[in-house]
Amino acid sequence: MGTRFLASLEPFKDKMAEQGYSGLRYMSQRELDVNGTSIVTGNVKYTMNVSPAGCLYTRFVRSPYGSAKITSLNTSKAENTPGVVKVFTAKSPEFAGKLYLGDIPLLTEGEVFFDTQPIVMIVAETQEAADDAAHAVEVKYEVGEALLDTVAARDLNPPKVTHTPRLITPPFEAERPNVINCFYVRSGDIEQGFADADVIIEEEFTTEADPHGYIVPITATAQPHGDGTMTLWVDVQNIHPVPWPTAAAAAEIPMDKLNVIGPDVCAGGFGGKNCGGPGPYAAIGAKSTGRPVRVAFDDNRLQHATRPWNVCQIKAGAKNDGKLTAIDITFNIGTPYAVFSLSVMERAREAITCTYHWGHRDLYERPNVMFTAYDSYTNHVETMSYRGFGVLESTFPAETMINMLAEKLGMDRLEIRLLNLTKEGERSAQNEIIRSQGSEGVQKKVYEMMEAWGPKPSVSEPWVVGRGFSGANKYSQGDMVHNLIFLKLRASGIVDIIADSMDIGQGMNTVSRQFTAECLNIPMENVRKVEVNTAYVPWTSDSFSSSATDDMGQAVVDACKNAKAKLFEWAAPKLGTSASNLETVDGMIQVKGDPESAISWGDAMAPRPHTIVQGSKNWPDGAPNDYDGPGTNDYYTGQALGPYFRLIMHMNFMAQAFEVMINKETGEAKITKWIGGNDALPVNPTLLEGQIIGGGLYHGGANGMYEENLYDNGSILTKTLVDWKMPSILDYPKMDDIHTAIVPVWGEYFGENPRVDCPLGAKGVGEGVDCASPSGIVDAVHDAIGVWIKNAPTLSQKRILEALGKA
Amino acid sequence: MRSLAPVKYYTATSLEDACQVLNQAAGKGKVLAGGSDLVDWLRKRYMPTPEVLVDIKKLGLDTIETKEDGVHIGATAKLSDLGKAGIPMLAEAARKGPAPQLQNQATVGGNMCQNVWCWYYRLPDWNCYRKGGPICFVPGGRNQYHAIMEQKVCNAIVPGDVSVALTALNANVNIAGMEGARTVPMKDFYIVLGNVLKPDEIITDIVVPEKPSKGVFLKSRTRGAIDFATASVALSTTSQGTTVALGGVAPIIPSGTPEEIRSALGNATPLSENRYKINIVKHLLSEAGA
Repeated sequence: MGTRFLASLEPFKDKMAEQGYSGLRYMSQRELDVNGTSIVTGNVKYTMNVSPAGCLYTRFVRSPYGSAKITSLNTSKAENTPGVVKVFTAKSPEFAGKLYLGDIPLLTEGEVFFDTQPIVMIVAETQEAADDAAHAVEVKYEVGEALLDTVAARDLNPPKVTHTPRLITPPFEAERPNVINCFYVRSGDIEQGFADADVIIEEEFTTEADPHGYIVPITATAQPHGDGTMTLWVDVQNIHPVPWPTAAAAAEIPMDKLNVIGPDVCAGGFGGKNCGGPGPYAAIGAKSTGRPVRVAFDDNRLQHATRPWNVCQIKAGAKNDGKLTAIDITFNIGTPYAVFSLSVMERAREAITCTYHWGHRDLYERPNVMFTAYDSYTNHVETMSYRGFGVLESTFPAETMINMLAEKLGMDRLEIRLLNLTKEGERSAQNEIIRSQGSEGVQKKVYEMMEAWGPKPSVSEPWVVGRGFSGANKYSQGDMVHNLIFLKLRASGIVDIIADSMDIGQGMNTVSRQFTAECLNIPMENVRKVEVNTAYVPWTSDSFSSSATDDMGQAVVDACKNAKAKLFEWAAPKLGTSASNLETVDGMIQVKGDPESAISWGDAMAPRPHTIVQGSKNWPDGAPNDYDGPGTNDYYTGQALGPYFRLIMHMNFMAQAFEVMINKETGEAKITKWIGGNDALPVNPTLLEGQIIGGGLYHGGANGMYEENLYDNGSILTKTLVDWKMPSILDYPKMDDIHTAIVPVWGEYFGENPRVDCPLGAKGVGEGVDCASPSGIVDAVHDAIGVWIKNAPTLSQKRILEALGKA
Repeated sequence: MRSLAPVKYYTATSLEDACQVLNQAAGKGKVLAGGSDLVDWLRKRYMPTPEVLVDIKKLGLDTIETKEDGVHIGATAKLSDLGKAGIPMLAEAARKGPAPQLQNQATVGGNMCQNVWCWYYRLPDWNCYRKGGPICFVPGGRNQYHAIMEQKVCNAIVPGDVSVALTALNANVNIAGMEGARTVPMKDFYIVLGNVLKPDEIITDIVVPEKPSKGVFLKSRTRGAIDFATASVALSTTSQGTTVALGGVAPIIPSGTPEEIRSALGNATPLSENRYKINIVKHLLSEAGA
């Protein structure tokens, strides 16, 4: 096991105690994941295992082409295949004219715009029958030229107009026929910034359309009950904001008659399971057939949705002393439909402006930033939200540019960063107040740990070793939905948490128990989290945008305050004192400091067997106004508007260091050492370290290593794990060489005036951890072979040897 | 996953019996041994489903024995058993092949006969030359893992590693068929669109005539596991001289003396995206001492 650095949390402990919490008794403790045993013994309830009696199965006929006209579609053989119950096309009344999200149809007709686009849905008695029928469908195509060049796609005269008629007309740049939308930042004086620069670097970077790579395919099973109501089990990250309404709308069922249930644990989502993709199809199938219908997206499972393809053109300038003077960055994203791509640009913008002061404060009044992002219709695979969501795409070029500038200026990787980091409380290029800026502590610690590796190991030719460093940030989106949870307090002292906030492998089921145990000062085993179910769980949306800890955590803390108020109100007369003179200790209620007076919850609550309290997101007492954000911004300039000057809920900062070994003759490459650092206060250090390693090394590292997605005229060729090269465990360092650093904003590194955006000092971390990975790998590769590779993924043999001029 | 199409399953009790059934199937029969490649194909229906499967696992072809004329490796010996042959380069080739679970299932003969992994060939909507279509899509398409030599009409590469080692070992393939037994040198086993086996023929064993005084198998691949070879080199030195074989570079397994192989490499015809393979092969040859 490598180093697991955890900064001292003592100052935080005292602060918590002052606020009435138990003070790191359960918070920040290495509690075991409550689902761990059921996961490793195969007893966890995944949606994929839901199969009611009489269940029907489905299979889609999907386009194998990126751009083609459907010249004929014949489903008669499929309809006559034994076991087939129903064959749906876009002309079927159940599907006609229906969109899944935004501008994307549930089933298409006439023309296809991306490989894997669904055309026909088969419903059959068995999975095999559905599969056979799908193969019996005869589709003839007139294949067209796919548009995959995202820079050309946004031209005034592009090589092809993808959608005619246009599906969406943007408020700006409408004269560009493929452009769906644009995002901007206009700050400072960009021309002056470049005029003042001693060094200017101009480059183009590509991040490919990577699929999520989760283990369990997205699955949904819908069961009609014969009375107009229906139950829908969906493998999703949250059941409320998208899966529930989209399924209800598709099946034309009132939402109140559709009960949606989530899994015990969503088996990997990484953003790809935000929307409950198969839910609308299962609901339509179930309503139409009157029987349970199961839909599993396991055909083309690797490729039914990806992050969007992006080409980033970037120019950055700096003075000889390393102070940044300006950045001009243009994103060129390509997607077949508008779903989710807009949010990618928005997050990319935030990431560019948060970490570094592009236009140093000693030199300029405002940062000099020109940010322009185009999302254009192309024929890439459908996009979906994706871990890091626009931030990895922007961090990769931005952090690499910082490393390139450092090299050109002869500066240390850390030195140039510390010189240009934004500071707590100052305004970003979006005129946004920077909060919870934990970069300095994290970057210093990770760099220090990297230096502790000592000299590079000696390896025999033609192997070479390189080391790289990168920072990053990812913000959490907030206030997208109202956040509310219930706690059911039982006379037995057991507390049920009733909340959405799906456990997607990040440990949310454990974290929510720790929050509750900490706030109520009761044993962990007294806290349970009930099944996520729209029948009784309040409307929330948590396990996306790294916001579950924040959104649900705040509501839990608030609910616990309300719970204590109620318990104390009932206990006070029984203990002959006032409510304000009571405390909870080990699941008992007592007069403060008097264990002899302790009574059980049951005694306090009697004669009530249970009660329910609620809690909602509630900012810390005495917080300044800018906690009340997020606010809004000017569309064209991206500038945050008052009174809050906040566009997000909180920022999460991280850093990574890589050591890679590269064979200069074969192009083989592997990661041999790694450090991941994060600035969150851990609710559970073990789970946080798992997030850092899982996201930063295994997932983010994979994005930077081999996961190439190869198209031939819009058709994806890399549809299996043989061809789409998800790294194996042998491609990562041994556990002894995997290190983590947790350096919270609150703690010894930040003094007595910490800024805490999230409940009890925690932050969301799920996405940010993978954003520094590709840029860290590229820096290490450059250190090893002296060449900057500007594509992520980076470590294919072809790419390495081409960079070395050996191909 | 689709259901298996109706197929006659026949458990052979003798070689003659097996060949007879295959002969009667007239090209619509397939030999089933470990099934690790064939069953996947049957489920995914990449190729027409055969009418009959002839299971040869009970024919006793799984032995590995040293005889006067060399080491006999039964066609249904598992890859994980190849260590028993006493030829380290052969065991190394098996070890660097599929995952351990598959090494326990896959047979040597099946590994030699497995189908190519060209994406155009495996994806159903590309009617390529190897599947009976008009052209090979590789030269004008994406080809970074494809052949750099001996392409002719197909640019897929022989996927197995053991075959490369056996070719360098100058092994001979013993084949049974309706017209009697015959022996084919490994170097001639592969032809552009497959191998020399006739529809009624079965590999019985492979004979390595002489254990090498020097034997090397080197494989280069992107990932530390799972991957087929980007390129591989096998070299064996015996009393007859040194033979080198190349994997991952052609629809056949090029072999010859070190000089012949270097010359062949000099005449390689890489495609638009796989010129990098030449450097890898050169390096592996150097590492092997060829």
